Amino acid sequence: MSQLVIVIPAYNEARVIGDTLARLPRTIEGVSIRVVVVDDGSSDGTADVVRACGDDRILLLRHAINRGLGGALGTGLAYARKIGADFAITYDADGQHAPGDIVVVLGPLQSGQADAVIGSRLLSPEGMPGHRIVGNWGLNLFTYLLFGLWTTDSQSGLRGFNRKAIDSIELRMDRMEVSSEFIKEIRRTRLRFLEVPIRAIYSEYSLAKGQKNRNGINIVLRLLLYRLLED
Amino acid sequence: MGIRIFATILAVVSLAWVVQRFRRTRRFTIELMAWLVVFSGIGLVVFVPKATDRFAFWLGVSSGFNALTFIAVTTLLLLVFRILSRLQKVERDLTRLIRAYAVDTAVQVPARPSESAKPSASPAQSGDK
Repeated sequence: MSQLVIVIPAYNEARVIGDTLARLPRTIEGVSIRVVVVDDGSSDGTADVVRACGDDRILLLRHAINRGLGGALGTGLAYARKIGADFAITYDADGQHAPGDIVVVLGPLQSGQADAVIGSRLLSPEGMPGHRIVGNWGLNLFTYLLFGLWTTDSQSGLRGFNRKAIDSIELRMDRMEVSSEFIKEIRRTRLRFLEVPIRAIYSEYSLAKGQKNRNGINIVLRLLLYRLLED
Repeated sequence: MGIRIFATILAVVSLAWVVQRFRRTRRFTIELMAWLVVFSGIGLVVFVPKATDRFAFWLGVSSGFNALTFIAVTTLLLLVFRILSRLQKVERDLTRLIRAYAVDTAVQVPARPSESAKPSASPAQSGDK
């Protein structure tokens, strides 16, 4: 049986993480599930909520201080690499993903169609706020111009990777810009890449926590700086 | 006149710092030499301003002031670039360290005991009548 690691980065998500974990699928055919929650230096008791959820499929990894989304995702993937997981899926803690979409993202990996899969909210953007759609397209275009790979949702938090991808992707960015870095890494390591449509569940909470358009400016600046200093 | 006094004080204090550092470490590094050149240069420019005109002519700009501004801005940009580069490396090393510790100290969440496995409390223990 293949092993799937679901990586959930969490920073001050005590209010919702219990519910997010409880809604994860109990079983998926052909895979054993391991859930890795990376508590990224939360100060609101996120780790306590995770510890109390009573699901022994869950593993809690704690950052002593906040390192950002990229730092937390990198830690989750490092763990997946360490235990030799066959597949890894990144999943937001704020409850914006439909649990059933995990299977949608996993499908092309299991069938060997792709090494990396991005769950795209913009392939069927019903219910997505207009300003989010515009902001996302802007970042998609910017990501394409910088890294040369087009995707309809460069900022999606639901992504899937097979072992080849887990072993070859090297994340160097610590903050929100990591979403674009995944696209860069997919291109750099020549992974077979596929997009699948996913549904985003927007609540007041997830809208407040998720990427705002003003974060987009920070992302653009950091990506430019990265390009300038690293390449 | 004011700029001469200010620049002289700055150059003297800074040169004293460079000398003190050399006496402490007994190592004449490139960094030390660079500071020595910079602060001596400040002193020279203030007291022999004509020297900058010759430099400006050699550089191909109209005046000594323009030449100095050009050099200063270029040097500062290079320094900012270098500092940002170093900062990024430090950030990355910090993340690597924190990651290694987090992976090594991963904790498995204990399973919630099932209802049947829970010890049943006797009326006497629970205090129920």
